Amino acid sequence: MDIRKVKKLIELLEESGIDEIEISEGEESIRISRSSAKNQLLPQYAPAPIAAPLAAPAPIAPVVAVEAEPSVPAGHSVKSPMVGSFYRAPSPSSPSFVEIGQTVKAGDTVCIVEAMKMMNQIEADKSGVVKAILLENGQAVEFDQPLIIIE
Amino acid sequence: MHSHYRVLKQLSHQKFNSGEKIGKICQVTKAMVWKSVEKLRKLGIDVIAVNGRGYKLAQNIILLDSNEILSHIHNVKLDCLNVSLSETSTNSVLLEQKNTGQLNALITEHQSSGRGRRGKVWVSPIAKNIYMSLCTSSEELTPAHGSLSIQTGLAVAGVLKQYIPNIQLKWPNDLWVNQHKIGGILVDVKVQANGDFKIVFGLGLNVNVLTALEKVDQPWTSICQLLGQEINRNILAAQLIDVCGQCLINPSPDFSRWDEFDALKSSTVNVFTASDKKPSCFGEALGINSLGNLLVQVEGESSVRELTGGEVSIRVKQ
Repeated sequence: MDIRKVKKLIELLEESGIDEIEISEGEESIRISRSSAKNQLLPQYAPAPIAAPLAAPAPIAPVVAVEAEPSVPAGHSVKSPMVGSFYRAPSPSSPSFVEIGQTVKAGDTVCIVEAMKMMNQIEADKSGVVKAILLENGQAVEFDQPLIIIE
Repeated sequence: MHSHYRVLKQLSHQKFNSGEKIGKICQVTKAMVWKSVEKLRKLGIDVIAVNGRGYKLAQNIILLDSNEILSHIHNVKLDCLNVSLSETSTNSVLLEQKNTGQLNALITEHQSSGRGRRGKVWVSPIAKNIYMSLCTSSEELTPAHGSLSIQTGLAVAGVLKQYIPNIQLKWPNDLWVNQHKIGGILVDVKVQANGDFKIVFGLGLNVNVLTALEKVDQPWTSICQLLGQEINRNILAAQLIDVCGQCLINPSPDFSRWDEFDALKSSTVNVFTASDKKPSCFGEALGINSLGNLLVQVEGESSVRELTGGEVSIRVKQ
């Protein structure tokens, strides 16, 4: 496999929130993982709890956040009050609550976060213009995670 | 709608009542009685009208009755119980209403825009079933609130078990009998102007409906279909308000009975997250964890996934 391709893959991985990527091309295959590198960077977090698969990303989160910060536009962020799934519209067939560039008033519903059929209508807690929508439909969100940027 | 409901209450299956008499009791004009009859017909009530005799119901209808419901509620104190002829959706109405008390209830004979998860339609024929919502408010959303839909699902299943011994729950809270849907629960949450969270629990339950529900896109059943007899909706509604009201006021994640009702146990399930049409993965359902999340051993993965949202369906073997 072309070394430039591998380099590109590593860059891709670093830019994203993904921990591991595996690519197969014909008989060749490559797997790049960054979890070990992180553990080295953050030795204090190395003894991850046993219930690791889902609990583990938490300690890593600060690092990701620092990396991601420049890409999150400045402004007021509407945050998720709970863990769940993000939705931009009340139903798959209806239009999104808001689009980028749209003016919203405080109290307008801007998205829904669902946890086990509990639909949390997230309202804008500030009036302004929607500058960014940080997630895709159906994507998982964490408690206090920024969802939408209003300026 | 209030005057239409009053008129409906004066209509009898046994004998004709004149428009004049009904109007007098309901304090509306004869013309208004006719208008109400037209509206009731549109909502699905079969009213016979004969010139010179008056109006009569084609079938006997037992309506919801707030006094009877209240007399069977023993464990919670309602600040308000509204029983109405028709609403758009009981959840939508309570969600928009200014909340005053600790526990409000709205139960209706008919919904024009009954809804389920992600805008799915809940078909709501008149005077047959239970469409009700309970609403409370809370200063904060605690982890215990996070699993309210599981807690209320268990509460409803516990009540229904008296009528239907093989009632099941399909995660998170579809009420199922032999893979036929008999009821559904939807919990809506919204921040109020004062910063408190408003929490609205909604239940649609097929009780006495027998004839084909058009537009229902999945196998369904009703209590009456299963038992072969009609059920007193007022007593059932009271029992449901009793247990679900307690969940809302004092949420506590006790899932000890989940196993008893779990319809997905050891089944292979499709998991739908981003799209409602294409499953994102599939695997064996392994019950729920202490948060109420569905545990799925996804094919080809070593660790067990814990689902917080999305939809699952039993995978049909190919």
